[in-house]
Amino acid sequence: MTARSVAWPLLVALLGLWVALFLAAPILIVFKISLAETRLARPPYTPLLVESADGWSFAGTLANYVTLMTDAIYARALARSVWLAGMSTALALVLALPMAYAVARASSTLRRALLAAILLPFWTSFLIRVYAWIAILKDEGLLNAALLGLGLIGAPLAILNTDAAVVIGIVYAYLPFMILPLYVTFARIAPSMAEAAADLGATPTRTFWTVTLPMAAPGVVAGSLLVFIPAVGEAVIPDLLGGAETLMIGKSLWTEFFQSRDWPLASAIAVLLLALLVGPTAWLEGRDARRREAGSA
Amino acid sequence: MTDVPTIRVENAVKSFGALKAVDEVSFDVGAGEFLALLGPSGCGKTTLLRSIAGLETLDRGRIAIEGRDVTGEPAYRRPVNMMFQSYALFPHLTVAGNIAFGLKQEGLPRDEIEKRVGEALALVRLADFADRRPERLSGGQQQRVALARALVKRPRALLLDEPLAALDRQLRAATRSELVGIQRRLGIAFVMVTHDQEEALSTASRIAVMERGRIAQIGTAADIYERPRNRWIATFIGEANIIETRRTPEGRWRAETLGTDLVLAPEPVGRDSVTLALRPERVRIGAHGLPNSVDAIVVETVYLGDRLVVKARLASGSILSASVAGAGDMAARFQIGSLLAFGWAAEGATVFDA
Amino acid sequence: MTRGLSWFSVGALSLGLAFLHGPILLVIGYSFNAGKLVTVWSGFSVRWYAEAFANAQLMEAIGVSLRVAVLSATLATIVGTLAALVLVRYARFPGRGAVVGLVYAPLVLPEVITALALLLLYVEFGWERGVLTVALSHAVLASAWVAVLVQSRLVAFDRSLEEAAIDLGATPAQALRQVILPIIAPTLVAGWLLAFTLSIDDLVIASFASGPGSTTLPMRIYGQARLGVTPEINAVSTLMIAAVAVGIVAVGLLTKRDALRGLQGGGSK
Repeated sequence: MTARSVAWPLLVALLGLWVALFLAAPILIVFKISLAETRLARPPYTPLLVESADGWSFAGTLANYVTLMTDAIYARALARSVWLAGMSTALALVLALPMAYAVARASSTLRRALLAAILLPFWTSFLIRVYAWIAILKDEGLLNAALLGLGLIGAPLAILNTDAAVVIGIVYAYLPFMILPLYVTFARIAPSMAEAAADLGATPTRTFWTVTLPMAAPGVVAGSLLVFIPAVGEAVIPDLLGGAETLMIGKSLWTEFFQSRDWPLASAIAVLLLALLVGPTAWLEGRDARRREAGSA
Repeated sequence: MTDVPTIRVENAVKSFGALKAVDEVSFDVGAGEFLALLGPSGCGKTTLLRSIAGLETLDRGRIAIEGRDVTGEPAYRRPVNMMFQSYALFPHLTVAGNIAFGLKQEGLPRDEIEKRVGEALALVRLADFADRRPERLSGGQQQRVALARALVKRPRALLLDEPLAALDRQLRAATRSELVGIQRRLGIAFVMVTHDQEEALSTASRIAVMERGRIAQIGTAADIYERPRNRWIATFIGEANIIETRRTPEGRWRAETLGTDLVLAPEPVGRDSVTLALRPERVRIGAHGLPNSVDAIVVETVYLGDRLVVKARLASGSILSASVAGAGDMAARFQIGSLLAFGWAAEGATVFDA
Repeated sequence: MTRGLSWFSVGALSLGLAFLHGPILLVIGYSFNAGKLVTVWSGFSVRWYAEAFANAQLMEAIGVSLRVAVLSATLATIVGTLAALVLVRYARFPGRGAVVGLVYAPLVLPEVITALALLLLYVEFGWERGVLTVALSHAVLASAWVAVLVQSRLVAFDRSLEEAAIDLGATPAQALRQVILPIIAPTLVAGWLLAFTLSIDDLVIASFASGPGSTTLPMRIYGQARLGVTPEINAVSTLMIAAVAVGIVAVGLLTKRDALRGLQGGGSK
């Protein structure tokens, strides 16, 4: 069909160029710099190939990775990150399920309005929303004022600058990411499924747990990944809402880069994170793709 | 037949906005009956079926199942089950899991469930497929699972939504006999929605023809076909030549389009004009000494294998259809342009209200 | 049977939306609070807006953010549309998995990784950091979003329109320019607005990719927020919220049937 026209092949080439230059190359460069050492110069890291009298030699080192493995602080930060991200994902799932289900069952006009209402906060500055929580959660903030005023507590609850605040912040920031895939999956389930279940004697609650939710499993997985993976690497939320002990790996990367000016170490952290996060996802995707091939055969 | 009908629908009304999908419908379904709801798309038959299942709520009217008023009850409490047009098999459960679903809702003990599932699988001849997932089954097999899933609950009646629509011709005939066989064996009432008259005529013991939300006529296949109550039914089911007649001063029946007087039996009493439905297969080609006869020029012949349809133009310009069974290669006998005589018996035409 | 929402659903939605919108309403409300404290309402006032406009650094940051946003949105729309066009047309080619993975990676990865990787690229190439590099980094992230949007629209696009154009004598390039692009134009505009919003809002990527003189608004706010919450920030935030709200409404009106068709979904067998 595109016999002699170069139009589409050209587009493919352009895309290939962009992907290679701005997506593939950066990852390779991060990896390269993770093998370097920091120094006071421009750029602030040692080159990988050093020219000497005998020719080129490889000057890379795994020192950064050794640091990451041996210095407990990074392991703790990573563990903390995974734990907090996991908690946030679970909490987001619990909150998102009823909302997504409700939107999927709403009439078509109401549905559009609800989706806009859910997406609107997402588009209003991430930073502002996080920082609004500071005003709510701090000792002199709204939440404590309300609870004190209602007589429910005697002294202000210290929520700000704790892990709890970080979890609230992450759930708040990423909730739409959980709601949308769930909603799409719920909306795609044919109404006749629920009707068949009802016809066979299942009450609406039973139908939800035994038919609707199992069929929405792909949406649960997608939403969970969309929340968990970025949340593990969050840097801003733990910085604003967390305390000094709230060590998250994303914040470590930020600190190494901006404060310690140790670019190679920051790169090593990035590579580690990539391996940990992308590895399982890529494997899952590959397994899904193979299953799809087999199913259609 | 027992006294209490299995299903009784009384004055059912259901509207969607301004559209009245079901307009004052009342009928009974007796025990062991196979009733077809037949009609063109949009006539309300599916809405009616879904109302019986409990998937739609009526605006007005009453539905009773074996004497018990279920009008206000939700679908999961009604003792009838539906076979969905799309089958609606649960993709995350195996065939056995799907069939067991309804029994689980009843809270039956596990071994009882296993036994009944086994019976249902045997009934539809899918015993070897118990552990398969629905996506691995052919269309026909999926349908049998849907059937088993509904029947395993031993409902008072089975509701079928266009069960043969998605099947190709061969499979349709086989499934048709299978359904009729199962229904006869189990002896429970079946209510089937279809737009295909051949389907309705060949499976149902009684047919309710629906048009625009109302039941136009309800009766056996023969009732409907041989004695259609009005013009619309006569042309919806099978083919018919529609002839208007007027009583002449001499007491005969003048058909203007035929240009001749007709003999009708039985004689219509107390009327000055009647409309007739004349089925093509009642029209003989050639005079044969029949009381009604008219000449026409052949304009088209349609060879359908087991019969030949001959269309001829009358002097008035109208077209008359005649159907000859087992014509074989007789098409040559009815040349286009030849003038032939077409005749029928006095009882050949059905009279209905003008 | 399932039309209409149960009380549980209504309750869940109300609570959820209140949770989502509460903090925003708070910010808006207190931007008009005459006093500084969050817990005390001291009367209606627009003094913080006045002070915000008088704050030179803040205004400069807004200018930077706007310039960056326009540049990155335009680039992101071009690249994202390109990616979507190619990925929808070619269902199978060697390496497609990798391309898909890379194009959409910025969507899923933690922002710090994308930000760091791109910055290192600029350093390796010796590019000076400023408005252009920030815009470029934003475009890499935003193009993934645009690609999602456009891909969803293209999947619903009737191929026979393009085939008719070619049948009538248009080359594939002409068919693309004169038939496909004009028809999906509303989605492209929606994508541009989306990318614009993302850019205005982004903190992490901008922090890594910027240089002297290219401090964006979020960077400025972040710097000040760490020192303490100043009410001018509330005012500026409210302005940003208003701008984004307008953008969202515009996106909604434009896409209506179009780009969100895939999202809206409905039951299918």
